[in-house]
Amino acid sequence: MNILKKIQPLVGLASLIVLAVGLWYVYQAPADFQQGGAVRILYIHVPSAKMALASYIFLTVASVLYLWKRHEGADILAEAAASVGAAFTVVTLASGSIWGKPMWGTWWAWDARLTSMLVLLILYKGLMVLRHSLDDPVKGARATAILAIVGAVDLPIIHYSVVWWRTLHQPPSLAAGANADIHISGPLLPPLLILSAAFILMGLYMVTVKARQIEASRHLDALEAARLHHDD
Amino acid sequence: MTDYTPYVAAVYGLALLVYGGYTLRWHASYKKLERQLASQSQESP
Repeated sequence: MNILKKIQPLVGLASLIVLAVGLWYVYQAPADFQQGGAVRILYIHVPSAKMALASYIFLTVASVLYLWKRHEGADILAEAAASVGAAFTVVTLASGSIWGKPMWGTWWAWDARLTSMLVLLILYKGLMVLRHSLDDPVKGARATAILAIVGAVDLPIIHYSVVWWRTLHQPPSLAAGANADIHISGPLLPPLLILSAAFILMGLYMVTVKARQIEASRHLDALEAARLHHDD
Repeated sequence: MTDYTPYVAAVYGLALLVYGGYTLRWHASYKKLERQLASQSQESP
């Protein structure tokens, strides 16, 4: 995990720079002819939603690697991705709700996209609770990895929910072709693309910070266990 | 035209609070653990 220590400052600095550029573009971007200034909410909502899904893909890959290779590093990354993914999902749901009130006239609707996103948040929280509910950390890690892989079935449901069902949520904002009934384009597109890049870097930075914290915590637990064993 | 500034401010404030807050909290926790690890390794020969 030494690589995390090396890349962390670089990724942090890069994310701050790209974030600052993206926010400048948001400030300069014109209001949408239908949504007015509320379109600025989408510059946070869309990248957060993409990162909420990307974090779960990362978590699933790390879980598969852990079950296959039994490498503790993969388990640490999976645990870190769950915390980071939960943060992105909370912001996705809250920002969507705040956007929905003036645009749809309601804070919440039980439509397929919103509900499947809420299931993702419950999954993230469930993984965090399950890991710490078992006394044996190895059993906790295995059970969490299995649940994470099973839970990945929610990802295609979230992604295609706006295509498979008639939903209040609009079709994909960045889709091209037949699915792009409503999409972000023209001068509204650069801030979205730049902030999407910033959120990828920010997500990576958050995973490195959380992973190092988890690694240090496990190291300390192991030292204390060894000391107690020695005292006995 | 409707002024959506309070909604926009709420979202950007929330994002700052969640992303910035969690990152700082994890970083502070890591630093605390690092200090504990350093003192543990000094105690044990």
